[in-house]
This record gives sequence, structure tokens and C-alpha cells, in this order.
Amino acid sequence: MADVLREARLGVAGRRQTLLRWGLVGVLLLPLLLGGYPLYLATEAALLGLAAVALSLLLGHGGVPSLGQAAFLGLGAYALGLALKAGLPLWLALLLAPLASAALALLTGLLVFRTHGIFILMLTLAFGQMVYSAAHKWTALTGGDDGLSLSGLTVSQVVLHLVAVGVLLAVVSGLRALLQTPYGKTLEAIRQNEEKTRSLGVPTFYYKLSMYLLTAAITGLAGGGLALHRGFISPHDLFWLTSATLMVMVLLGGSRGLWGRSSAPYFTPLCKPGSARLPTCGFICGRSAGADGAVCPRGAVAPAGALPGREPWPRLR
Amino acid sequence: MAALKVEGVSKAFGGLLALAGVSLEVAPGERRAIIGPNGAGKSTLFKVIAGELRPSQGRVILQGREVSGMSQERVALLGLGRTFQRSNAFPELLVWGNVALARWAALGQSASLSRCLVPEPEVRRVLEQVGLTERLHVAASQLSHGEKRQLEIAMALVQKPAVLLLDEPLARLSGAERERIGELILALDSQMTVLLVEHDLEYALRFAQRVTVLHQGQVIAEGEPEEIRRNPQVQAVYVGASWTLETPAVATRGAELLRSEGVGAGYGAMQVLSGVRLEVAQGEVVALLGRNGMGKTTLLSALMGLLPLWEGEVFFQGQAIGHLPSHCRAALGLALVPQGRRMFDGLSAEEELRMAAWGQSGRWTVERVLEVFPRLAERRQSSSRALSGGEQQMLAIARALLRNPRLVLMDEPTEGLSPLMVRQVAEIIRTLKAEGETVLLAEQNVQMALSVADRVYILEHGRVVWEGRPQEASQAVLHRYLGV
Repeated sequence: MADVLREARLGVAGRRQTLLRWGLVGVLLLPLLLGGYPLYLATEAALLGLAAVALSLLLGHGGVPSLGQAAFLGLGAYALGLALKAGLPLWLALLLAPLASAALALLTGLLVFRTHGIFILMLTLAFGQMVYSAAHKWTALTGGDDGLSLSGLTVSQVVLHLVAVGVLLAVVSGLRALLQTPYGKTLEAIRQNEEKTRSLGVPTFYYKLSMYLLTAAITGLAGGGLALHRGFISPHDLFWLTSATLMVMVLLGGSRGLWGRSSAPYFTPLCKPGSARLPTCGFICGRSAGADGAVCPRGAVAPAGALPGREPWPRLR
Repeated sequence: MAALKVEGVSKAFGGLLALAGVSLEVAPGERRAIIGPNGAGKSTLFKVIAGELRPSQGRVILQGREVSGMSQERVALLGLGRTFQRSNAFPELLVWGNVALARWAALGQSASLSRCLVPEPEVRRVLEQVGLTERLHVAASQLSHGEKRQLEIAMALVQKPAVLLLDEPLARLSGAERERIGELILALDSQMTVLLVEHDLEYALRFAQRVTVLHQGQVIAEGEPEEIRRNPQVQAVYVGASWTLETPAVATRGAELLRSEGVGAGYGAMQVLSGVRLEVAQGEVVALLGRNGMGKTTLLSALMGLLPLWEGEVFFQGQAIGHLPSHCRAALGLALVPQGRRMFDGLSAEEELRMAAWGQSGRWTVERVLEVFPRLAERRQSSSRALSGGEQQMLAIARALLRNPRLVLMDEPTEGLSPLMVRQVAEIIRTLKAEGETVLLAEQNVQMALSVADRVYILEHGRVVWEGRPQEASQAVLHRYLGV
């Protein structure tokens, strides 16, 4: 009897999940019909979603609380911008963006993963702010406060949106597959009990470092995309508040589900213009994010996962 | 060639020497038990062998290869398996996932990206061996306490270690689970070298071919179980020798203060206590003895109301208090000095006392306490966290006294203290007795407890198995602990 009920519940959950996914795809494609500002916001959301998905892998699955993601986002943007300014082709610039961020991750990761917990938070924050300072002060290279303009560039908004959505979906699917491999499961094991994982013979340092590199590369790619999309790079986007915003998105989408995560950014930028005029909107966003972290690790945008009786592995979306 | 060789290993934590030149050699396929009282250095020795701690001195040689100084993951890959005192499988992974992960780790291929984790036949076989086949697809967090132990053993076995370290695998297990896991360990592959740390000496001596006895970080005896059982030095370690027993001055007993009738309690689904009957009379010091995990702390918690009673009743001055919350019991005059002392951060010794005395009136005041404990008066300005272990214990007892209780429950006040400090604590309890206080004392330090007690109870697996006078207790303790 219980089994039948459970089956039924899983069936409903499965259908609801499918619906949600198609709904998500619809939301991603609908802006194409609307065009204009909605399309602009939707592309922005898809690219921020990419960065949020990376952070969610880092935070929710690897247990690494990074408050320095803005640096990777910004470094990717500057790498792309400077490469284009130097006359390199777009595909090479788009390749350089994740590489630059991954290089930074390698440098900082070697130090960051000598510590644990809150110290990781502080260290990533510190490194992030160092990159921000560099971008802000190194006027000759970055243009400093004036920012870096990519005005000469013409990329079709529609193409950019389609590519952004495509990359987002590909990354989410790829990461979900990754989490099913021994490597992915080992990452989860490290989050749950690092000492035990080490006692099984796993050099956890390299696992955390490699995941950090991977997420930095994804974030860097998102940064490059944002630079293309906005046509302008401001050093202030490297300020730690951007990292915090990403973290809010991750919490809003629940700390595990990658699908929920990728959709959360749709609410954040939509709230942003609203919150300027209507302070309560920002407040509500903040509240729901805060409550999420405390009450519901599955997040507000992941109702299917909140069903009782589901086991941890199939729970990954 | 020895499977495992430890040569003159020392390990210091700050000023404390946890291991002082330990040497031992374990032959391939040998079953070795490492026993010793609390704080003897057994777990530290395991940690040093496994590479979790770096020895201050000495070497560890695993199958002819020096491993001291290597990281624990390398030592693990060289053939050392290990289970922990606290079961800690990965709670969110499924049972088979835990084991599959351990298998991949042992193969050095946990970084593999090319396939999914699946329950391979090897994983199923090991889970069948430990008796978890039916729980294959359950999350590890859903397992019972004993099943988690089984899972941990499975994770170690699937790695096919040459040497397996089992750190108190039976601790905190109840009857049936104890039996099941005990049998499982006895039936392990005879090719494997197994080292066992266990407080259940009866089991440890049954399991082992050879036994090493640690005391204060040193090996004091090594030999076959029978020799060890009869070794007077070992008996002295467990019961102590250098304490003189006071002859009770008066045989008359005061009025009954506390009585428990058929008390049962436990945690979750695990029943720890059953049918505990115990009495404490006014002005008495009653000692509650028993090895680790026999239910002493649980009993004190149940008496204090920190744990709900499952059955039975507790009477305090004739009044049934089994249903009262703990703060009401405190108001009636019960005070608990918890294990581990629990100082408040940022308060000085005197502030701790003033806080405890807040709103209280009675014969114990801060001034009176400082008079009885001159040591605390000297250190009244020090931060309570900076006090020595013995001084903290003094402070914890003084805090309890300031509530002016009718009965003080003390949970292992000598835990983690040096012999000198243990004497100080004994002195304090004698002082309390002279002041006419009533004390129920749960202790592992048998001889210290016997030297201050008027009456003694011995708890075993959650039942009172012996009660009597301290003069007769030594024999009973030897019998219960070592099976002599």
C-alpha cells in the first residue's frame, strides 16, 4: 500500500518535474518573441544563471562557500574585452575568458584549500577584492572607473540569447551527469565528511581544487558572455556585492538543485529595477532568500524536490 | 615481516604527552586488542598509525614500509583500513553508494568521469557479508546506530585492507546490535590483520590473540589474553592500587532522598537503561561505577529530567518527579555537574560563581564557596577557560553548590584529569561530605570513587548488576571488568 502511494507520489513528482523543465525552457525562449528589453533581461538572467549554477556546484555539492565569484566573472569579462581590443577573433576571446578565470582559481585555490569553512569564505572574499582593486586601479589596462567599452562590436541579441540559453542547458546537463560519476559522488562525500573521505584514501585537496577550477571556468565564461551582452565592462561588477548577489540567487534556487538554480536569476534581475522604486520588492527577495537558507535547503524555485519521501540521489536535478 | 610495526612513537599535544614511546609489532593475520583506561592514548595511537596525526617521535612501519609522516590518504592506499569511534558514513549517499565510493577510492580511481557509480557485485557481496543486503537502497542517514557501524565495516572491508583498525566498534550499541556486530568482527577474514580498541574487555579478550595494555601513553603489558587477565599490574591500572579506603564511621543512614524504581530510558529507538533501581540517602556519597557506555550518563540525565523516562518512576523526598521538567527538578534541589565541565566563554572564575548564585539564598554563598575552595579564591580573576582542568572541575562543582541543592549529581568529574588533579577532586568530594552534602557520583576512576563513597552501584549494559559497600567492591569490579 505504502509502495503504491509512493509510486503515485513519484509519478506526480516526475510529471511535475517534466512540466517545470519545459516551463523553464519556455521562459528561456519566450523573450525571443517579445524582443527588446525583456530579451535583454532574459539574456542577462541566463548568463547570471550560468554563474549561479557554477556557484551552486561549488556550494551545494562541494561545500565550498566562495564569496569571490565576482572576480572570476569580472576576469572573464576583462579577458574577453581585452582580447577583442587586441584584435583576436571572437572564438579565441571566448576561450580565453574561462582560461583566465581558471588560472586565477588555480593560484588562489592552492592557498584557499589549506583552510576550511568560514576561512574559505574570508579568503575567497579577500582574493576577490584584490582582483577588484587591481581592475579599479590599473587604469592603463582596464580603463579604471571609466570601464571598458566594446562599442565597436555587433552581436545579434537573438543569437546571443540562444547561445546563452544553449550553454546554460548544456552546462546544467553536463554537471548533472558529472555528479553521477565516482568523481561527483566523491565531491559530495567530501562535503559530508572530509576526514572520512581522506581515511578512505582520497586526496581531497585535489578534488576540491579541480572543482574550483571547473566552476571558475564556467563563471569566467559567463563573465565573458555578460561583457559581450552589455558591451561594457565596469570594475564595479567585480565588487564583492556581485558575489553576494550570486549567493542570494543560489539560496533562492535551493542549495542543491541545478535546475532551480538556473531559474533563480530570472527573479533577481527582474526585482532589481523594481527594487529601486519599490523597496519592499528587494526586501521580499532578500527575505525569501534568507528564509530559504534557514528553512528549506531545496529552495523556493524547486517545489518538486520538496516532496517528502524522496531519496538523496534521485533528488538531484 | 610484521604487518604493522610501531617503534618508539611519542605524541605530545602542547604540554600533554598522549603517547610516550609506544612500541608494538603485529604479525600478519594477527588479532590484536589494545586496551587501557580512558585517556590511555589508544585513539591517539590509532590516529598516529593512520597518518591523521604526525608522531612527535618514532616511526610507524606498515608492511615493511615506513608510513610515518605520510598523509592519511596515502597510508590508506598502502593498505590501512579504519573505522571510527563515531560512525560516520556519508549520510546523504545510499548504503551501496557509500560502499561503492570506498571501493573506487581504494582502486585509486575515484576521479573517474567515464562511468556512473553503480552497485557492482563486489559491493553487494561485502554488504551481504555484513548483513545489509536488504538496506542496499536506503540513505545511510536512515540506518540505525548498529547498521551504521555495519556499513562502516563494509566500507573498510571493500577496500581489502592488509591492516584494519577498529576503534571501539561496540561503543554505544545495545544488546542485540552489540551481539551482531561482535559476531561480524569475530568472523572477519583470517588473512586480515585486525587491531581493536574496545572498552568491553570481555569481548576484547575473547577476540584477541594478543593484547597490548596502554596506560598513560605507555605500554605496560603485552601478552596473551589469559596472561593479561592475571597480570597484577593490569589489574592495578583498572582498579587502582594507591588509594586507601576509609572505613565508614557510621553505619546509620539518613532519610531517603532519592529513589528510582525500574527506570528505563534511551535515545531514539535504542533503549539504554532498563529497570534501574537505586537509592540515595541524606548525607551519603553514592558511587555509580561502570565502563564506558554502560549507561551512567544516561541515568544521571534521566534522574535530572534531561531525558524522558520510558518506564519506571523517580522519587525525590518521597515525591514522584518522573514527569517534571528538569528546571522544576532543579528547583526541588537536584543539581547536575555535567561531564566536560562546560565553562562559559569570557567570564572570570568569580563571575561564573556570581552568575550561578544569582537570586539564590542559602548556606552556600560565593564567599563561603571561595572559603572552601581557596584555590578558586586565588584565581578568581582568571578567565574560566584559562583555568586548569582540575580548577575548572572545582568551579563546576562550586557552581552547582551555589544553587544550594539537596543532591548533587556529578558526571565523571575526574575525566581527563591528571592523577594529582584526581586527588584534588577526591578531596573536594570528601569536603562536601564533611559539610553534610549528598552526592551521587558517576565515575570511571574506580579507586577514587571507592575511596569517597559510602555505597556503590555497578551498572552494566544499562542495569544495576551489583550494589554494596566499597570494601567489597574491588573484587566485584575486577570480576565485572576483567572477568577475573
